[in-house]
Amino acid sequence: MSGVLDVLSFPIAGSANRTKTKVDHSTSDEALLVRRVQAGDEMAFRDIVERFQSKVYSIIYGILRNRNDAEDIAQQVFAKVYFSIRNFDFRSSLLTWIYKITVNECYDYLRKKKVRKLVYESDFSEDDAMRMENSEGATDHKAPVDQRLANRDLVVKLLAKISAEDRSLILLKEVEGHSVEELAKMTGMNENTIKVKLFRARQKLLKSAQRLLRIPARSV
Amino acid sequence: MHRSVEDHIEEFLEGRLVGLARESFESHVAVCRQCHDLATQMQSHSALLQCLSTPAELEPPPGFYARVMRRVEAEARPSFWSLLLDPIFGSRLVYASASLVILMGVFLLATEPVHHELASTPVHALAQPGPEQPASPENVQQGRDSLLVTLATFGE
Repeated sequence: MSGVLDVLSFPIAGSANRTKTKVDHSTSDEALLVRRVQAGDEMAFRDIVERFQSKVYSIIYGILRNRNDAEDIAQQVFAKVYFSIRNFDFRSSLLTWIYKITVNECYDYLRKKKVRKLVYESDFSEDDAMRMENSEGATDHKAPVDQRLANRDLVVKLLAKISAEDRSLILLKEVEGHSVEELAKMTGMNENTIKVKLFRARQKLLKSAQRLLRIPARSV
Repeated sequence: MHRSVEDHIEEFLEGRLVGLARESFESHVAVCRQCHDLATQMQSHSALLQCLSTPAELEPPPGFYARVMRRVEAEARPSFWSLLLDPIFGSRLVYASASLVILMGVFLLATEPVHHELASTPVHALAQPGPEQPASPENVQQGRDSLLVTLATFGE
């Protein structure tokens, strides 16, 4: 098997220091904010909305690419946060919890609307096309918009095939760029558990892709 | 997928695989077709997932918090159906309905008029006690006649 490493390109190496500290989410600033909301302080809830609104809006827009839907779902996310924050148990960070709610709301929306093609012509403005063309996060800068839309459609469909927990974990890792250590701190799980969960989620994604694209399974 | 690759796939995808771990990973995927394919596929999926990222954080339109609170208020207002689903309200409704049914039943039984129905069938006619009259031969004959009329007209 000569030259396989040419195909399998290694990403640039980063820092290698690893921490296994478990973060106590019940004593942070965020926890105080949450406790104030749990006690009925609406100003604290306003702080939470203002702190996370752009994050939530961006996550939703990243998945749906439609500003009207993003606004509507973001409102729904914060309404859900408002009503369920009394059940927040500080096992994970507030961001992780809100992130999960956000991704779940997106997929609930997609399920309800039975959206097969994610971006319709009417939804996809020139502004959106330009933004996508200039998107730093795009996989291939030279790929045409149609190809990117097809890729997005495929990714969203594949993510719909895995559990909500796996989906959030994969998105936090790949889209938000959090490391395994950071995910361990954010979720309150240990690093090995995160690794195993990520690996299984990736395997499920590959299997789903093989089924969807009818590629014969060989190595998964 | 072999254990050595499975253990280090995340570091590999993050670009943090260095030193001996990297050498071991490289030498394994160079000879193991299965691990090589899987690592390649996971790498391409990792790249594909980037299409969901946004170039920068986007802000919702101004007045977002006010709109969130309007939605919260709208959702906090209980609907008729949510009231029915409320366990306390539901049990009270059941007790009230049961009490009402019992009261209505008692009322109907207490106010029902007693009807002395006319004999409409021969069986009823035979079953009904005769009037309290002295048993004179005329009365007996009259009773027999009326019974015969009832029996004769029943079929018509």
